[in-house]
Amino acid sequence: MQASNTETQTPAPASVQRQAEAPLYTPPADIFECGDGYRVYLDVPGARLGDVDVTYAKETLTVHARVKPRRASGQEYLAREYGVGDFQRSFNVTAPIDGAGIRAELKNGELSLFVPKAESAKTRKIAIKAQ
Amino acid sequence: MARILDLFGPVALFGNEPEELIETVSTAPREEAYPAMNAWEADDKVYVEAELPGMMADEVDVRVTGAELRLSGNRKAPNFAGGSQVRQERSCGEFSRTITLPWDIDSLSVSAALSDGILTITMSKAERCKCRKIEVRNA
Repeated sequence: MQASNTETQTPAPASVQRQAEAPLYTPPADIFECGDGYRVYLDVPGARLGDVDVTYAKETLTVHARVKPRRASGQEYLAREYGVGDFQRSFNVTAPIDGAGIRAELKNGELSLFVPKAESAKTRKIAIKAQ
Repeated sequence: MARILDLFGPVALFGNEPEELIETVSTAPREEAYPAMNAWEADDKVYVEAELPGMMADEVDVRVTGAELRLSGNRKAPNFAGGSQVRQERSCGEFSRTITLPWDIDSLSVSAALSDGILTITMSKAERCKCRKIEVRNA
């Protein structure tokens, strides 16, 4: 893709094509359930703040983290045990949740999501009154 | 992972078949030795990189002896008291891995930096292992 593209040209197809060719990796996840929601932890090493998109639509929670190459392309690997590229993963959320209340934090390449349950699904402690 | 989810049956948040929505390819094998490492060479320097998401610099130990590089640490389990775990795919706990490089390393040249969950170790080859250009004289 040329850096000199102007907006009147069509950089979009090139960009789309480049994304399609780039490898996408599935980040491993840990999920915890508690009374008021779910904690989701995803490993996205190499992703920085601003490189991570979290979206929720149609009962699907999607995380996309862009990861830039860290090695000059001309350098040969002595050992290559993992690939470097964007992370993406989608979850089908079947439980009632409050999509607008989802919060996300990124720290040291670890993404933490809090997915609150819908009010109707939250665990409620019922106070017992003495007679 | 499916087994863990099955324990929780249909109440599990993310359903029994969440993978169908993944639009992606699978990862390279990541769990054979932990952590997985990439290494490359450029201009007499050797770079070794490992993914250590969620870790802080003081939780990682890097040692170099001769051509051996040892990387160890302890990745803490996510502390979430009061919750029940419905999915566990990430590994945690103590790890240690030693790799042997093709050359001896000048141990004083080694530096290591941890940024965004990526550990990068930069090293120089020992002087006697570096490539030297020998001037050829007319005799």
